[in-house]
Amino acid sequence: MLADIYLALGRLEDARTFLSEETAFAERISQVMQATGTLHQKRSAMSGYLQIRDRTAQIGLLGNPAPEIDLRMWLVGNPVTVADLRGRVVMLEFWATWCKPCQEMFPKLTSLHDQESKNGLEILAITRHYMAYGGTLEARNEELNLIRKTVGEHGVTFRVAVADDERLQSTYGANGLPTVVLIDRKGIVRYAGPGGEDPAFAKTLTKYLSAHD
Amino acid sequence: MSPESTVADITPQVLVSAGLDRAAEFQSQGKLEEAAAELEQSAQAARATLTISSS
Repeated sequence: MLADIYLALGRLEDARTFLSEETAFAERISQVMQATGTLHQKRSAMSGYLQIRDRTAQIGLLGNPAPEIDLRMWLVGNPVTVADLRGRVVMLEFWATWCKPCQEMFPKLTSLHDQESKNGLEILAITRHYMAYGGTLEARNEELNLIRKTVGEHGVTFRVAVADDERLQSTYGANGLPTVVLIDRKGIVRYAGPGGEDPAFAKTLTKYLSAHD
Repeated sequence: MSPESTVADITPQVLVSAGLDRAAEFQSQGKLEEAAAELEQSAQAARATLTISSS
């Protein structure tokens, strides 16, 4: 909450400093809880720590060149990198099959893509293998089939990619879902957060879609 | 915090919770600087509990 207020006030460095300190504090709390807490306290403390760590990564990206994406499996659309999309406004939507709010986002994303593609918006929906079925090849294929089925059910027309592991999500602070990242036409990260109804997301998207330099 | 609160009632949790409430109120009024100040105090109070419990 405080980091977002700092951002609204244009105090980016204060937001970064606060989150850096808060991450260390949350990690310490989590360590104490893992050693002494109840199951509920352990889970709450770990969840809080991971959320703060994600937000720290997100705010660390703002104003900086977007980390490159190197994804091998594309279920919809041809493979691209962030560099390939220079000149377009890129929206990374991190999602998962088990994430209900992510499923609810698909119709909105399709509508947004239909409306704004001509203005330079490029949506990349990125999920990953969670190895929820035990890590065997058979389980991996089963998971992939579920991802394909979900994408098919939503009639997705924008690019969809599947990462092998959690590295890209960690880089973008996207372990919590859904997470949205907006990259401007020069490849600079301008927004990272929950997307959806977040007023900062809509404002940033409008601003950078209308900027053509 | 109720007017009947005694000094013994004012735990760090009460202070932090009250600070969060005031910050939310400021934020809803668009007073972001004031909200930030409240949250900074609340964060300090919360972090101090770990210092106390570790020492």
